[in-house]
Amino acid sequence: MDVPNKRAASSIFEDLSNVEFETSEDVEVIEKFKNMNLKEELLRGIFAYGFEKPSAIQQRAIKPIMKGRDVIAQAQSGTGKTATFSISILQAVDLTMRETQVLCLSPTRELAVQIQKVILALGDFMNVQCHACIGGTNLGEDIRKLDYGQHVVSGTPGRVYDMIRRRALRTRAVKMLVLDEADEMLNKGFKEQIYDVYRFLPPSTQVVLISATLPHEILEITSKFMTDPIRILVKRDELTLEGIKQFFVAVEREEWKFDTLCDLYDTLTITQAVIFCNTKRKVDWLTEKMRENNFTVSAMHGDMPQKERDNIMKEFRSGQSRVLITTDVWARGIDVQQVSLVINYDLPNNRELYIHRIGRSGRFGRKGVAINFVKSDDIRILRDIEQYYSTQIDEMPMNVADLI
Amino acid sequence: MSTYEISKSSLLSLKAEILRKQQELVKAKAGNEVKIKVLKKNTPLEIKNKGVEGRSRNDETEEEQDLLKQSRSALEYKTKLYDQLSSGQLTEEEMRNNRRFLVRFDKKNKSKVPDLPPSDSEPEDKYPESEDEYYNSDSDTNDRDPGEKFVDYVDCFGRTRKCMQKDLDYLKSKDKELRTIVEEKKKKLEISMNEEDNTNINISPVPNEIENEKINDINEESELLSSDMRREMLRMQWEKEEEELRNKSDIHYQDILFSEARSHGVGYYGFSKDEEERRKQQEALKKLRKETEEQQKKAQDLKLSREKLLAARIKAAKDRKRARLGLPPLEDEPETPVEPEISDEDKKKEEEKKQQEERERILDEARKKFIRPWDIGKEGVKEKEVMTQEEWVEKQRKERPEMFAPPKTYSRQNFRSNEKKNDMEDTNKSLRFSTKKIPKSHKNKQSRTQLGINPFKKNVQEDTIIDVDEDYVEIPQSSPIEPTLIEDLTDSRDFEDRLLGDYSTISQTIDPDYSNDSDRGRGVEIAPPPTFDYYGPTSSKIPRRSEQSKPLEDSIEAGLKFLRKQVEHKEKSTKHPEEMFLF
Repeated sequence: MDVPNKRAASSIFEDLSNVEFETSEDVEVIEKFKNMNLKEELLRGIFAYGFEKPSAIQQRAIKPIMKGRDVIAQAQSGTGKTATFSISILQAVDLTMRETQVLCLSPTRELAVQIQKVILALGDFMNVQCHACIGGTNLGEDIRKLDYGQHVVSGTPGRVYDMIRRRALRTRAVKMLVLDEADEMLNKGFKEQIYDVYRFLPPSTQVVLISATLPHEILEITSKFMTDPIRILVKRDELTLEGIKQFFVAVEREEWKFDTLCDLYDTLTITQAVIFCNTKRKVDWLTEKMRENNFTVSAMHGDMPQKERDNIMKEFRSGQSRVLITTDVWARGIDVQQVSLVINYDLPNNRELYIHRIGRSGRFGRKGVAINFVKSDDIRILRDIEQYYSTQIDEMPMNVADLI
Repeated sequence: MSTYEISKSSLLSLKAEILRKQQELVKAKAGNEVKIKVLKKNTPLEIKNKGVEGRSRNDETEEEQDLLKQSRSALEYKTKLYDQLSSGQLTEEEMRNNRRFLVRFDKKNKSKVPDLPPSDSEPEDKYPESEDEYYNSDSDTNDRDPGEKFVDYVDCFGRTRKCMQKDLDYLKSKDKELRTIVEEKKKKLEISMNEEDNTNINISPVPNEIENEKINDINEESELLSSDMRREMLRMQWEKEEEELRNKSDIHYQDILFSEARSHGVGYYGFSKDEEERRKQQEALKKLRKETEEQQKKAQDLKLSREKLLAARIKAAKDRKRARLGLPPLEDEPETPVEPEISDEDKKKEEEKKQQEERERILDEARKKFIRPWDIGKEGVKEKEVMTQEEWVEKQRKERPEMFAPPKTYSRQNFRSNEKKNDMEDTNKSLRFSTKKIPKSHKNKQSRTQLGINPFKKNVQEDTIIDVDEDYVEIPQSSPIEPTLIEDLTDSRDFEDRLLGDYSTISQTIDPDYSNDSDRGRGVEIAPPPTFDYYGPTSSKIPRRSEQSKPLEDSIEAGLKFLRKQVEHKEKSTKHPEEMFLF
């Protein structure tokens, strides 16, 4: 008989800097979409999209979000996080009212567009309206679209804030704020922008944080804008997926990376592949060089005009292009089912990015392969990553094509 | 009606498989060729009969030799020219002739990519991307500078190309030059071909014309097109789709799919992009669903009625059998639904559930009260939540230095249990004190001033203090001193372990003036001790004992009078009149 009194309840919201975060107790597991009390049309949308059984995160996180609780949800890459909050969003939205009720922020434009797509797909039978409010597009058009009335807005913080300031995006009816890739969104570069947007939302708006990686310092600051959140977390040694095999190729000199890549080209084109470089200039350079050697590749990075970025995304999504050379702008969240190979031409600059990059392959239970090109002095970094996530990164075998 | 698609992803993987096989084949072939060559050299077939070569040399006519020479010299000339062209060593004359070549060799050479990648020192591709997005997206890049826009144009070969608008003029002029050359050539060709089949030459002579043709099934044709061409066509199609979207108020999944290769579930239905059509399709689907459900229900009902019929028949048969044996027919057994007994376990569960709900409710309340730091300052949000007395006390307790805490032996549990015991033993319930708030604050102040400064000196100014401190909310302001009250009190009483049990009486004795002046005339009503609120039974809500049983009142009063007398008496004689309370 331990009904907590108010004192105990209030002590929940205390300083978190010394707390070790764990998954909240008694998180209910619901093993079927049918048992989640979802709207009929939504349920049909879920099945039509190709989901049959909810994934681990979907079994756990959808219910508490639906209940209106603040939720911090972590799950391995490609296990249906986007769908998790999309389903909850769609369940929460009142379709009779054409006002923005849910705001979903993501770090890149491509991701915001992808989320819009998922929400529209899952809500296809509901006829939900979702707008992608991203930078690099026509402002007037954005304003007009928002004027039509949108149930959900998925966007990047800068443009969304701009739209709010112009009163094109009314926040009066907003009842939920979703931060996808939350750790990135609450990082230095974005935190202020998130704060700016948050200040325009009604007090005590439901907040949902989602990411595959949630470092401690991010969890610490969540108490500033969340109320006693339910946490669904993954230990870091369980964060890498079994289905993604990780390898490395040791090269003595930087120039040899290119030759290695050319040797691997046949393997790349078996399905689709993403090659990560650390800088935009290097992406340009590698693309040029590949083309010069008569390899067909496409490239994308943040310095390209949005129109071009859109087109390259569409080409890659439609399977027209098979090899994409890109930067970390592509590292988080982008979901292309056919990507089965990721190459780290350069090693990522932090551990989190490694998880996100290799997570572009092996989507929703498919197989994937990640190959890291390492110079001799990089091997230490790779070993550190290996140890940190308790995973295995072997030297690349000859028959790597068979694993894809 | 339905538009089931064969999953594009499976097609893609099939294509991939084919490609792989083809490559394997090519590789195998290449490998074989090597083998064959090697074989040839060593086989006895290679060994020729004597004089064969000589004979064949004789057979070669002079004409043939000339031909060989010619072709060789032509090839040599070509390599020389190519080398010259690519190295850029050209004379004036040759430069002019250079117009003939559609490949710009000189340019080709320059654009060679360096072998070494650029250094990693440059900034990474970090979002927040393009600064213009934040705060000054007033000027949209697309609108601001028309030169930055990408435009499509069709060159003289009918190829759609993309370029920056600012480069358009330059490219146009280039294209014109090219066209004149091509046309000249064409004319020559036409003349030579007797103007017969020039219609077959598929050259669209109109550059910069925007292609309006509808490309429906690019994907089907795509195998026949070059990848560049296919890409251009797709881009154009997407552009068109987007243009259409711009004017639509309702956007749906199919509108933004943009031929993505994604496998959907079996239940996927590709609705039409046309709003009216889409509505119709959804309606039809709904109708179908309803019908299915009805059919299902009907089938169910039918099954049920059949079962019933069967049961009746069996029963009739049994009855007949019984009748033959001379027994009365079976009586209908009314099916009594067995009432589910509520077992202890269920009860327990229910109780647990109730508890859970209760807990949830309390937590929910707390959550509602909680103010997020980022919310402070918003409309309708108070700067700070108003605390209840209890919360305030708790907070103060937490803040107080450990050294001022009551001694460990004074653990709260002890107090509680003692109190309870006292309650049990005390038949005279009216000794419970009322929890009037004003007297409490009054007394708080009093005792503070007394204990804090001089516990036994009467404070002259106490009345004014009372007035000032009447409001309860004000207490936080005097917070630094407030909690010391208890500490001082208990500390000073450290030696009085014997009195621990009867806490209330102690406090009363410390506070002699209290009973002396403020409450003396009030009869039964004795204000609580100063510490009552802190150590009293879960201070939140204490039922007031204002209505007490009359018959008890007299005896109580008598008792109290006695107490008071004792107090007065003892006060005069000694500071610590413990004994008298140990009845």
